[in-house]
Amino acid sequence: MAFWSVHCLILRFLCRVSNANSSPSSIVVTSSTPGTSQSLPSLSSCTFRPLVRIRALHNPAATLWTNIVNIGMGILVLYETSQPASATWAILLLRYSIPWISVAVSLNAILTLMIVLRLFLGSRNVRAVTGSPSQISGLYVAVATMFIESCALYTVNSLVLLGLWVTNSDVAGAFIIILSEIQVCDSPRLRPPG
Amino acid sequence: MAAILYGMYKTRQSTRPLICAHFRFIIGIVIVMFFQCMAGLLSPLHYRRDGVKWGVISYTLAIFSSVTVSTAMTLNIESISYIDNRNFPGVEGILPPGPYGFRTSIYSDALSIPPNVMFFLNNWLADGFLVSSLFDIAFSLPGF
Repeated sequence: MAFWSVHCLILRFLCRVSNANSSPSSIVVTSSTPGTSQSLPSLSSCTFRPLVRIRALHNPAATLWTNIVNIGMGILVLYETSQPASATWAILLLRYSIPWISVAVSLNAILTLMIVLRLFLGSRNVRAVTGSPSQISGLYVAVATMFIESCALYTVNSLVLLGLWVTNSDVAGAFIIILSEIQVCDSPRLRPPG
Repeated sequence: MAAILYGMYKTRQSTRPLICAHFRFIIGIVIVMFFQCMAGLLSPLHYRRDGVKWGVISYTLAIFSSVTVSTAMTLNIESISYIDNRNFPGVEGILPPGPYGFRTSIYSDALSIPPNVMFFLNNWLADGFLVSSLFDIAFSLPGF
């Protein structure tokens, strides 16, 4: 109950912040005569609603809790692997690393899905408002943007790592070694305006 | 259980060093991207409009230094294991002889802890940035 109430409070706070940020940025065109201004219709009145609404994918605050669980699992794995005289560290790693990798993969998969969904629907709305036809180059830019912005490379790498790690394969060493570098490769990217 | 682990180690010794050594080229991509990113962030074209974004610059510096320290210390441990201690005798029933046994025996030493800490720090930084960018995208696009 307490968990749910804190969740609702955070969600309400974030929604208020977003409304406060978005209200002054509505498009206003000032006409040549001073004193009169004419506001264009907002983009949100022209949006297409998706046919299937998955509730978790429209709730960004859900990722906050997954992120907190991810940090907790990381602390647990770090604590257990740094215990002295753990010559049988493989047992510890097998015990605590599978939950940690699972949480990290699920967090990144949820984030990727949410960002891709928002970018796809947002670009469709903008295309519908501006009326520009979708061409090959536009499609390429859209797909590349979705891949880069949503950290899809890291998610695919983590999914492969999870499968190899659970089956106790040797090749998992290759993927866990490039994990942190791929995260850094994905992170420095263009931020959306505003 | 110890016998199973010992068998696992014995089969793992052969392929693991090869796999670990051949995937370190990614750090070159990271270094190139770091310098491109800093050149873009510090170019006059960028900061003339909104000023210098010190938050993004410090985040980039932190994540780059953490991944560099992690990679460098892991390579140092691997060179200590596979070059200096190739003739590790092993512990009967617990650790296999050879470099992988030595690598396992120093896993909880002070030398092996900073790479792990930096790895998890990097993980938390990257995930936090992704969550914050999700909130940016979610609240800057209309219709949600």
